[in-house]
Amino acid sequence: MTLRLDGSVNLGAFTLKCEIASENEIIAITGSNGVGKTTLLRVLAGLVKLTTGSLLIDDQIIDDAATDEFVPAHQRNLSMVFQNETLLPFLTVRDNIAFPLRMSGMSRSQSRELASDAILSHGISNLANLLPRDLSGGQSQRVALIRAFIGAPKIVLLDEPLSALDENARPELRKFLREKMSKISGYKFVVTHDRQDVEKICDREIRLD
Amino acid sequence: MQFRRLLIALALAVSVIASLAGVGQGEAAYQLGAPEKVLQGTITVSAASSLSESFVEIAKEFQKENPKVKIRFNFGSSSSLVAQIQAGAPSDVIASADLSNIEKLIKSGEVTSSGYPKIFARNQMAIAVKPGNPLRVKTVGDLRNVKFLSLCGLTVPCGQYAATVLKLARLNINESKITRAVDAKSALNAVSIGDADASIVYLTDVLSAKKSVALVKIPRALNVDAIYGVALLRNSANREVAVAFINYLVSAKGQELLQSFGFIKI
Amino acid sequence: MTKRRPISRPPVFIFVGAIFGVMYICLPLVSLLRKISWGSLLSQLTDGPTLSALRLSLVTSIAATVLALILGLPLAWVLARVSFRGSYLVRAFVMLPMVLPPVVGGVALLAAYGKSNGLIGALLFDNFGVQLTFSPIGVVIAEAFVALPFLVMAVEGGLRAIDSRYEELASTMGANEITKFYRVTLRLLRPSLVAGIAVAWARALGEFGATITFAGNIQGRTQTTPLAVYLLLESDPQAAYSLSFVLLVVCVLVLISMRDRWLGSKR
Repeated sequence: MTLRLDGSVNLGAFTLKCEIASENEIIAITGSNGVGKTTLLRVLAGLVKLTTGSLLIDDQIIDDAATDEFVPAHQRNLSMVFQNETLLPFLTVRDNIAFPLRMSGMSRSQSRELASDAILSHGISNLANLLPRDLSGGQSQRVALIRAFIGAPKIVLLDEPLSALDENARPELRKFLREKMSKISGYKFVVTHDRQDVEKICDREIRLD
Repeated sequence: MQFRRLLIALALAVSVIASLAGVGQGEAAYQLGAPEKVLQGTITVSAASSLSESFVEIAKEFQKENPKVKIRFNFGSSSSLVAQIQAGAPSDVIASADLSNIEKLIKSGEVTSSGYPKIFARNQMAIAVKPGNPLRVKTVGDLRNVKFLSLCGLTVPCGQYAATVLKLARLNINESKITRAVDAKSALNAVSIGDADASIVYLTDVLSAKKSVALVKIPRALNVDAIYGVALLRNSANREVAVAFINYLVSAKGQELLQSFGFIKI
Repeated sequence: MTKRRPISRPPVFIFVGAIFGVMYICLPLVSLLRKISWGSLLSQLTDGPTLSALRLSLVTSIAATVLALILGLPLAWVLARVSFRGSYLVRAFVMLPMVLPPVVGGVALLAAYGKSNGLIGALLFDNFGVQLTFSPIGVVIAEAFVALPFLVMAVEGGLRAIDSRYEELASTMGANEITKFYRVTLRLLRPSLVAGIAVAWARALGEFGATITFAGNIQGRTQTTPLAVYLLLESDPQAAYSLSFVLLVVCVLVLISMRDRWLGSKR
């Protein structure tokens, strides 16, 4: 079971070239600002197509620039937490968490139930019916992280997942992330600037330059 | 500081607007005791739309003889012009396609009855059809086969005259086949550029539009006499010129011009 | 995420200007109310021709809005999201009916759909016997013609304002193109869409020049409320005021219902 990415993305402003091979491990992606960490995540997510090269997951072609084969994002069984715009602004916290389940075909009532369970076990019941605009940055991010692990994703992509949280809130969530991602058999990438994140959450580090 | 500047700006704006509003009022000027009065100033003439072409010509000639005079026209249906005047629209002369509209103004006081209305023209109705008369309309009775007939609204003189014509021909056309226009010109336009098959409007209108419609005459027995009247408005700001214009209309020259457009001798 | 606090104390001259602005609009409307004879209002409104004008206006304006939606949504989408050469030209042409004098619009519609010498209209009539002028369909065509630009403008603006990252987010959560469109795009578009529909409908309802020129003024068939008011002004001014009052009330009701809830975020 491997993920193999070997190619480049030309975005006009810059070109990102990379070669990654990953098995069931949690990989940290680090590097200075602007070097392309988020772009790399977007390629893995299927929001950006490769200009050259290919992305293979479990020997299946996910993105091949030469043959123009491309599996769109919604078919990649993903879970992604963006740096901003982490929640859909017109859904409550509960419905936001339930959204990936709904997309996989679950009924509204069942998905809401599971979402409520997750909300309960994370102790944020007071936020359940609020809209994203009423939440603080840290609260939004927490909700997004809970949502990230509600389904059964095969690829997990986190972009600076704890950046909006206080220093003292982070250790608990680092444990949470480590726990959840270890249980997932798949491909997990965490973009971060925080050395603590790298050490406490991830198995390996890839440094971009 | 800004507030004061704004006040000055406002004062300037108001004075500019006020002086502009002042322009356009007819100014009468004549020398007391002088043997000859030179007519000058501007008058507004409210005239039925069926007078558009003829009055523009007449105004040209009148202005040639009186170069210091300027005539502004307000064309529309006689009834809407009356409504405007009653609502205070400034005008010097009213020329209507029937006498009853001028009676309305005498009743409401905008026209003094002494000597007015003066009858200055007669008109008849005629049928206008598409060029080439594709539906072969020869008489008023043939109109029963027409798909859509364009007439003026019933409160407009031309609409009333058309209704009389239809009544005289004992023709009852369903309202669902009649498209009502606001004045004679628009009624005619429905045939010339629109999809109406025929229209009953003034003979003079059909003659003016001979390039875009065909004429079907209505015999005297089924026709009406549209009597056009003209009157001086009480609130005219330039009586001299207004009266002169009215007199010009009924003079030989004026009558000649009107008849060249198809109006009948009074 | 910051919320803008409304400025509660504007400078004096802005305040005064705003008052004049409000009065400019409100004074004529309030004066109209004064002219109405309330006692005979109901009888004037239930009079045959008046009722048919009201009914016709209701049906045609709604149909025109639907037509504007059908034609305008795809157009707005393409203008907002597809970059192609000359898109600015297309947009300019689509906006034309907004600035064109309505009668000119009516004349243009005749040139296209008139049965006698319209480009398409003649074909339709000669081959299928279909006449669009002087028919309720003609009214809908004229009303939709003037209403369409308003809808396109509102929807295009709304689409441009949507943050594409929300749509991407939905994709990463497993939403396919169709689901994404229904559950995210349309939902984010809703305020602009509702505002666009309201404005387009109001414009269609009040249309006069293009309607009377293209569809004529046939009582019961094409005499909409504005046309009826115009004719009534001479014959029965009181009835004209009553009818105007109805139009006014309808529009006010629609606008009142356009609350923040529909038009965007509450402060």
